[in-house]
Amino acid sequence: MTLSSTLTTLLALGWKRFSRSAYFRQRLIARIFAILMGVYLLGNLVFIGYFLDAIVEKLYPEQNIPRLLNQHIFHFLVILLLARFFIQKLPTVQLSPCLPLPFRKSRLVFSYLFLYLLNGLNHIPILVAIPYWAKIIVPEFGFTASMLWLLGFCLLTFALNFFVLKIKTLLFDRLGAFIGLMALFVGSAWLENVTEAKLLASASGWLFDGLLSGAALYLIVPFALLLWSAGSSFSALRRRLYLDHGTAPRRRRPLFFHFNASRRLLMLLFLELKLFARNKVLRVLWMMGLIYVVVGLAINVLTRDRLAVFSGMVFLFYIPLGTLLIFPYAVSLFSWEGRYFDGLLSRNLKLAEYIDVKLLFMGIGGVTFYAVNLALFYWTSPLLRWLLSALFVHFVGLLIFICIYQALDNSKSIKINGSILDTSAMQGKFSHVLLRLLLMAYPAIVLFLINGEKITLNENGFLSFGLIGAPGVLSLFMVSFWRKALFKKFKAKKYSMAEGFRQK
Amino acid sequence: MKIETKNLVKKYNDKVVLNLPQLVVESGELWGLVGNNGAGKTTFLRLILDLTQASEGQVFSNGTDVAKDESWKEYTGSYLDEGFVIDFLTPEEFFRFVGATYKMSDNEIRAILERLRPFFNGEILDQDKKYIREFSKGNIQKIGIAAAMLSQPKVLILDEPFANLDPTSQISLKRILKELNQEKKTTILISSHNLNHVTEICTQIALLEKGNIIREVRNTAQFGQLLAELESYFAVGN
Repeated sequence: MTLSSTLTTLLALGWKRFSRSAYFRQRLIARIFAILMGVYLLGNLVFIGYFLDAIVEKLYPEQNIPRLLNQHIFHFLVILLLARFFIQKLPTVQLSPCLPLPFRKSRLVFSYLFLYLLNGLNHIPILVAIPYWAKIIVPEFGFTASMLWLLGFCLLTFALNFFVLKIKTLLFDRLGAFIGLMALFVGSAWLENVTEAKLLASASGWLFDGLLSGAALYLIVPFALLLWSAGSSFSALRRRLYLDHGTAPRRRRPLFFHFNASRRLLMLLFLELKLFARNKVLRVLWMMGLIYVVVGLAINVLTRDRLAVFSGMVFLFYIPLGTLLIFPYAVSLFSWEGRYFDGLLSRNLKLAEYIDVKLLFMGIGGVTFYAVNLALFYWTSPLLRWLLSALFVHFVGLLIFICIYQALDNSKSIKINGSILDTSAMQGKFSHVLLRLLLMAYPAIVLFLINGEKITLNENGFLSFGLIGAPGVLSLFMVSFWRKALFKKFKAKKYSMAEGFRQK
Repeated sequence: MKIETKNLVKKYNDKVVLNLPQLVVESGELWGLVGNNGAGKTTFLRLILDLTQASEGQVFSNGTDVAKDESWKEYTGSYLDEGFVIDFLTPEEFFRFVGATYKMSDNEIRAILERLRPFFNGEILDQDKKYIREFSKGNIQKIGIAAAMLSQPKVLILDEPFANLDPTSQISLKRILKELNQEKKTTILISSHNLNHVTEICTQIALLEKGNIIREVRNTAQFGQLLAELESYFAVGN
């Protein structure tokens, strides 16, 4: 197969995969709502970009906004790198059916890397940047300089795309990778604090201020970074395009199901922990949470208000991102049973206890999520602290329950090691899509209603915080109802799973 | 097409899972790999297909190192497990996809599929808009095996081809493999736990244990005699 036919084959496969995902198998109206949900998510990004100057002005009055933000673009990209490290997939899963076929591995890797530029994760920073660029940069600095700025930003985003793949191929599935990344972030924050050098901020400011001065020579830096990251990720991927990298078989001990009645709950928790430790998706999600806690705390303690601007930029991400992550998390938790569910239930085990353990796990997940946000925002802005607390109650109280409830319907088709953002994890009934859309929109709607015409971070927003958290609090009071509903769902799922593929 | 290994070693965390200093599968032979779980059968097949990186040594297909030259893909068909089918395609689309990679025309693909129709037993073709992911395990296995045979390869590698298949399909598959081997002189390597099937169709049988070939048997003996010999080996400890 030639390079062009490899590329078109992969492109066609990618399109079929997308167009045949669960979303497109629903009714037309459900598809429309799915598209609306996508528009809403993208709208969040555009919203952040458009109101970025207002947010920064509130946090840092009397500062030159473009110059200030220029100094924090590298910080923004670094945080994205951290998130992408966990979300971005290695290509072996997608390419495995092609490996024994007459495709040259180097062409497969090249085509994959080329197509990977279309990755949605690249659109996130660009969608934030473009409205800000159009509103602030273009009028102030003119067309040429602003085009250079935007080009530099896009090139760096694409370089990040390849750089993530590169480090993933080097550090794939190793605990050392997580610790190393944590050490890198904490270490650089510490270094900046001790030396007061503001290394990252200076470098970022130098590059983007330079681009805004209209000097095209500055483009050499992002362009060189892009070439280097693309080239090195190509060779790293090509070398490692084997199915066994990072998956050396481990010694497996048989699971023990004979529970002593008095220690049953403990044993189940232990079993859950064990399965969690062996489930790649959950391991990654939890590790991500823990890293955010540790890194967030460390950066806040060490650098304090330097990241305040940053906080304003990213906080709205947590509304869509929270639901995007929590739902697949719930699906993953409830998709394990396919392997051992019948084995468990044929033993001396109460289904209700089992659900309690699952809920406990989700609760721990929710608390981690809160801690993640709190760690990032605690010292920066009391306003954000309140808002995030309200969102936490919203998430824990309502969203997690809804997500679990829906996950029980959907988890049949989820692969245990599937991507956390796999579209199959989002399949569901029309009502599910609608409900999730409303839940995600709810905090933003409340903020909008309370703050009036302009969506701003109103200092008197106590009412909005209360309203955001209220459904969550109400939902927490109804825990016993939850459990009963989940019990019923779980039972129904057991039977539907037993019917297997015949059901289709 | 001859397949040969030279000092082939595969290790996981310093544990040797496969050690084949010298193994030659002559052109036109039908090899059966038998062995208990963890013996290294699948690892060996993956090494031949360059899906796994050898810790030491090489695999040669028709004289070329499979890890260095990918020309072997042009004449090799394989099916190892469900991970090698593209489950969001319909069977026909998947066959067309595989056929296109071997530069086959639609007519050629259709002709081969027609010949495989009895093997499909009326459950694979002409299933309107049914994606592979919606088929049963056994039918997915059939799709994978048929795709491997589609290009009429000179080398065919199948991992546990009889697993999940109903008795009718097992008999049909045995007949197809025999025909391919005898009429087209296809070099075939299969791994299987089913001693009956292996002794019935294979011309050469290799017995693997903990990564080593402990016995190579030319299947010239009486069917019943070889089967009894293998059964007595696997019955050790009972």
